[in-house]
Amino acid sequence: MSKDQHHHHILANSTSLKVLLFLFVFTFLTVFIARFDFGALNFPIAMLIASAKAMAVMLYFMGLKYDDNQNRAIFFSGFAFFGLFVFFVAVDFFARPSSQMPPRGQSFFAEVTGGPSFERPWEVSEEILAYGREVYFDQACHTCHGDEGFGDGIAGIAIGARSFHDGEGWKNGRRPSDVYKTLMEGLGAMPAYPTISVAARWAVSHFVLDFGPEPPADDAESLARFGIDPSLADGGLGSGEEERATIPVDFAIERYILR
Amino acid sequence: MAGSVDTEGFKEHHPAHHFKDADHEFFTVKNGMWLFMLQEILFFAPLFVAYFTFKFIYFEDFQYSAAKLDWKLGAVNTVILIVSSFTVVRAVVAAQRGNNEGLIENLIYTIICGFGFMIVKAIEYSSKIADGVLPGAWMNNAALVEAAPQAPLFYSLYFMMTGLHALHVAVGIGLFAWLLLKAKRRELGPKYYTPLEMTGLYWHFVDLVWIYLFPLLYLVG
Repeated sequence: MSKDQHHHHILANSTSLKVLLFLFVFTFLTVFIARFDFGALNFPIAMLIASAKAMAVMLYFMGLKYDDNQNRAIFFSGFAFFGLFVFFVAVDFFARPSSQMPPRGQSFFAEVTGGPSFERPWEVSEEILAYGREVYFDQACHTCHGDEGFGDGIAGIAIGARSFHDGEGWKNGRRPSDVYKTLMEGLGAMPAYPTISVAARWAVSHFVLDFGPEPPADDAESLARFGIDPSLADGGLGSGEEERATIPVDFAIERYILR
Repeated sequence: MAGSVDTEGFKEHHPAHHFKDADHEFFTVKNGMWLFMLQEILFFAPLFVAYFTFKFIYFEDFQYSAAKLDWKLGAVNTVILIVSSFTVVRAVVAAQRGNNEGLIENLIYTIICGFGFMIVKAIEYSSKIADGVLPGAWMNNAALVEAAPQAPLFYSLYFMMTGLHALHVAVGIGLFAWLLLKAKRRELGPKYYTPLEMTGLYWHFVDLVWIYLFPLLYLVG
């Protein structure tokens, strides 16, 4: 496009006044319409009115109506890219299996109590591994540590999430109670999960250790850190200190959001 | 071209040596300004996308949280910004026509509008802070969280979006104060009003963002 076609456009007073009036009327309109409930249409209606106002500002106040195609293309491509952004987020969102969708109107994380109970949860079993797998995905561990535990989850790559297949360099150690400790306290970028149930914490500890080589066994001393006495049938969990770590659902949800 | 144009009595502007003339400079700068504004759209985009996403997931919590905002203050700020966009247009036209008094007058109106917007925003923020309605982990309003568990998320987005926008308004006020100084020195006239035109475009963009923020946060929540 030749530079000679450019000119300095002076917006007529009557035009700018009309645009001002249009913007006032549409502002009033959007406030007025918000008083009525159109259900799912509320949102599109409000956005449509906002877009009409935005268009008036862009075309007349910003002068895109009198500008050249290059500048129009530059600015409107911003909205096109924005649309692309919304599109891909929507595709990602709706392509997720419903098990990965956060429950509506509640916490982003799954319910924090309930689930099966285990007689001796510090000991590994097929049942507790299966439950650990559930917890692993419900608590969104996989978003950092990866679906297969390689530490390659989308959110984990940047912060260097641990791969569970690697038996070396575990700061807290690799006994089940060590992983349990990490879940209780957190470790660096790894947040603490003190509000999920005791069984869920043991289950996910066993589950992640199961990805890698055989972990070292717990002894009475390491279990004592969490108030467990392995000489008792239920480790003393039924009446011990540890039970206090489970809290009501409402409070737990609050803790998750406020964390 | 309507009206009379007075080109006399303005300080002469010498375009930078790599431009062939003043027009070449003006349209090149404007081109760059539009590129900057494209970037501005994308700067705000993630916040809008995050808002859409969480609004979709936590529809009722967001609606409940948004109802706690005072839409009247939001509407007042909408009107203030629209009027200020209008006064900027009038300032540009005044400069194009060589009407320096009109230019100064409209720049002052714009700055007043900018401060008006910030004062209303300060009133809103301080009432929210007084109620303990704060973003994310700072949320300190048990009744609100009880009724809408995701209120902290809504208010995180609210404070980030309106805060980033208010930051733009503050920068705009500074730019208009600088232009006012230039106008008083008769440096902005029909032959050279580039900084005014560019700041005007920026200000309209700030208005544009608010046009979407107002219904999004205050009306439909």
